[in-house]
Amino acid sequence: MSRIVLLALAALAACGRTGEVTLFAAASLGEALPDLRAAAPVAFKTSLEATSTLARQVERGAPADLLLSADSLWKDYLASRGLVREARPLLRNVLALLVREGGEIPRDREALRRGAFPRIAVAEETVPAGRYARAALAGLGLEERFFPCRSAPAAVWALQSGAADACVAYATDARAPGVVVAFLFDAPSDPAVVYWALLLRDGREARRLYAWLSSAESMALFRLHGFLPLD
Amino acid sequence: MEPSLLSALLLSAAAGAAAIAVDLLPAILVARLLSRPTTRGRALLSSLVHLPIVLPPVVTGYLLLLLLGRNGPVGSLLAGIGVQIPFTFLACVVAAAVVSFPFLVGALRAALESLDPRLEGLALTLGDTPLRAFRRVTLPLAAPGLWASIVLGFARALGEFGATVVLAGSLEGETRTLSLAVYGILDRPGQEGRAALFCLVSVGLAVVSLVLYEWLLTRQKRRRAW
Repeated sequence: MSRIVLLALAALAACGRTGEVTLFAAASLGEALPDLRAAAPVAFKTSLEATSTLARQVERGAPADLLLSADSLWKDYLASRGLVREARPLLRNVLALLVREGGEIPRDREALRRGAFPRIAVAEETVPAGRYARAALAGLGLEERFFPCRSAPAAVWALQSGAADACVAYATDARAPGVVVAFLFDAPSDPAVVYWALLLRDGREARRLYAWLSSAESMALFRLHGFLPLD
Repeated sequence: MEPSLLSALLLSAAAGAAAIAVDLLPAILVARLLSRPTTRGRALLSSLVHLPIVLPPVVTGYLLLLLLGRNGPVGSLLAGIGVQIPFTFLACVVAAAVVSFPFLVGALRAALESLDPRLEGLALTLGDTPLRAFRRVTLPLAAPGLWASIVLGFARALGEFGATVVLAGSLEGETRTLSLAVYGILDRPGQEGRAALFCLVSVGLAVVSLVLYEWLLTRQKRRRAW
């Protein structure tokens, strides 16, 4: 019995190590994170979820140093609760309609509405990708076909696996195998997708990572994964 | 082995072991109380203990978050001494401890009830205190049952998901246990191979645990036959 207690204490001690920066990042940034981690001057731990999930965790006391938010609404939400030290816009992305390779490819919203797409995967309403998607398809009467998913990558997965017939996610998500971009929502009237970097807790290493994320080196890595710099 | 799999596996194992360590003494006490027909309020105690089995785990997690969060009655006290439970490794331990507790109690209680109460009575007539009689006579006789309950509780802790995802989040290397890692993988396109590997490991652990559990139960039953 004492052996179990000792093992547990050793495990607790091992896991209680501090000093590493904790970065919460919007799920749609997931593909870029391994490259960022390899190049960043600061070691960091990550949690990848929908921005809304991460923001709610931060609000409930999750010890995150930085949050990469996929929209400004959740940034404002956290800021209004006094949880944001500093914030700056980081990147742009473009909303896209994705379909499976080899099937019907609608060229615009109207074609999507008339085509055989009974289920359109979108992220949940509280998730930035879900809110953008609903804004982009507003007024077409497509709401009944929406198939809500936990995050933008989860919506792409629903499309890939056949659970949905089309998907509104980001252009960067089209790199998933078997998925193609049918069209982009890049007109001036379409929602502008801007990622924000938020510094939530002050600390030397956290600040260093925060500064590095806006550097030319980090931008080059983001661009490699299809993200766009701010104009 | 894939580093994220190893990290998730170690986290799950560490959280499970810590949870059992926290649970063990209270579980022995409660199993003892429930195994005695003379205990007053037995039905109420039993209901309370089994609550985490029937409550949706997400609800258990949320209730724990309310209790242990910064503004919660316990969380604010702990914050005073610089301890944070939600969204840290401790949250995985607490979640696992709460959901495993009824499994520990259940298996142990069955083992205690299967013993001949006259043996402990005999020890008392020979001058042992009740605590000593329990520790020296009853508990050793129930040892296989105790180990079986530990194995079952540990297995349940390894599989814990619902309460953990609410209370602990999914921070790699800190709170992303095996179940949370699987859930995270399922969310992302093009990860079928990894998902299969993680699921295989989970199934393997569950099967080994249950086989061990059954073996220990058989040993306990043999003691009863004496």
